[in-house]
Amino acid sequence: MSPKNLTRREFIKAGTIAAAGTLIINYPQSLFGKIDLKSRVILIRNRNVLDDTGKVIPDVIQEMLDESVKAILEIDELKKAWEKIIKPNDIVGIKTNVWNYLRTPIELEDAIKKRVKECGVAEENISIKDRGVLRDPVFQKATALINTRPMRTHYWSGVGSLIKNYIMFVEKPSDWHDDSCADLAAIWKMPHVADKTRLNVLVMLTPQFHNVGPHGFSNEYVWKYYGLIVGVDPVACDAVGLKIIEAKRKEFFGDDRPLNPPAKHIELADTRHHLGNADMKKIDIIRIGFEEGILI
Amino acid sequence: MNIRKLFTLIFILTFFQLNIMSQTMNDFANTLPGKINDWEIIESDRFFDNKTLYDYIDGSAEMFLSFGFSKVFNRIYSRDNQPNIIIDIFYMNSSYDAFGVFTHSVGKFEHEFGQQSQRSEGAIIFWKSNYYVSILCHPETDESKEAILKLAGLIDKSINETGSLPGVLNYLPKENLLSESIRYFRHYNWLNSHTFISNDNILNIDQNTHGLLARYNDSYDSVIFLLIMYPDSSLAESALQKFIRSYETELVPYQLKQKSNMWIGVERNQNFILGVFSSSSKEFAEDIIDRARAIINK
Repeated sequence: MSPKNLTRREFIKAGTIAAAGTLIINYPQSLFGKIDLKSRVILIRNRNVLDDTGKVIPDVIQEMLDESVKAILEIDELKKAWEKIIKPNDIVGIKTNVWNYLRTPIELEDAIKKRVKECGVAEENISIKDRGVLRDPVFQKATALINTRPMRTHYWSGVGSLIKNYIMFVEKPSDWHDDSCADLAAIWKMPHVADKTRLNVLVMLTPQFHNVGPHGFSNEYVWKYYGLIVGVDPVACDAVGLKIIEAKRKEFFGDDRPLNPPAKHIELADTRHHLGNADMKKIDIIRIGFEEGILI
Repeated sequence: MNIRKLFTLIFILTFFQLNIMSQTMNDFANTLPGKINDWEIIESDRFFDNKTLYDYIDGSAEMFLSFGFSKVFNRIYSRDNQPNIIIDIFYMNSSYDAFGVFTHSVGKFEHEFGQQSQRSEGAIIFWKSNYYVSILCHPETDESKEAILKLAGLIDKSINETGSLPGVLNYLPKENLLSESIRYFRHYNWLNSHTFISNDNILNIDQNTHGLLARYNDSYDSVIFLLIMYPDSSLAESALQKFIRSYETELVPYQLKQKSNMWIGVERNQNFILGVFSSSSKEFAEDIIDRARAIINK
């Protein structure tokens, strides 16, 4: 599919600013990368989120999520902040990622779901899914999406990103692999996906910075970063995550070892598809938590 | 030879190759033990081909397809309170492809198994002949570590032949070469293995070209060296011209140019393209090019 590429000017001129999300009325413009303003991204880190065995502590991840949502909306009261994101009559799909070796933590899925329910959304109107979203009745009717996944290196797209997480919204994901998955952002403009994403949570608790073997995973190439990257602009969140992965590669390998193939789908999501901001100069990173080893 | 005879010959060769491949993959099913250190097979072995690989491995299928892959044998061993052991044996189209996939999918080159291997936590990867072998258990335990070592040894032993390396390797200067940095490729997606060169296929890389990227270091300087062997010199020249037109920095062939304090350069020699990137020293970059030229023209 070839998306209709509107320039930012055309985007605004055409009166499609509402395409930035039905909550544009409630959100300050800077949360979106779709207009010529900076995107705000929260990078929150907390060492207590993992226990000694690497298990996620539910209360801590909940707190990290809540703090991020308050910070992204600049609203001190948690309930009010979430109510800016989700309305009681929303039908909410939480797009997760269940890759065997590094999945979205169930504790984070639960934390998101808990707040969505507190916004007044009925249990039957919430679904958490990765594969099979196209056949899931809640996702089929979804009015709002929340997107969450861990960042990891990927043999073909450079990194598994928030942008790439929506590849399950197409019938044949392999059709989108051309040119290192360059045009993944176009999926976000398909009618059943466009304008529905309210929040993106890039999991950086134990990101993966290098691939090994056919399954692409080894414990040797993940590290405890204890972080989440949260924002409304998926491109900006991915761009920040990518910088951290690249910095870790440099630190670990001791030389400048770029991702191969490069994660060009993130840059093209900005320059070709105008989904958000990939340029770091157009991203405001709000850092919460400890700074040691932050890599950005 | 007339066309009919040629097609008959191709058919016979293809038939025999497929037959041998199928036989060999089934051999793994027969030769590998049903039980090892109390791990047992709990489900049937599986086979995947280039149409079904996407269903099996998430994110890596394209890498194998970009080299040339026919089939993968998959077996899973299970044991109570221990991680599963997952064996994948890929039958690549040639030993070049097995070597190529290996160079892109590991972090270091060791020689414990097969022709080259890497052992990391919970994983043993090696290549031998046309086979690319992966044995995984996650998370690794003392017991599983012992079991995967045994399995790697058994698989290594069961592959009698060794495979030849891509001929283009013979043209790499050996001195100052960091051998673990060698990356072999026949798809442009791998062009940025050591430094960013381009997102696009600006060197006309395809299945008939043999590309290498490698790092060279001495005490003070470093350089990334690109070497691509084309079927003939006219194709190499076309690729050079395309590169010159498309590369973000204006370059004149056969002349090094400084960009952001680093030296870069590209040229054609016979049916080869030689390139240097990210070099901290003009002299060092020239030295590598000179030595490669000398090997090519020998």
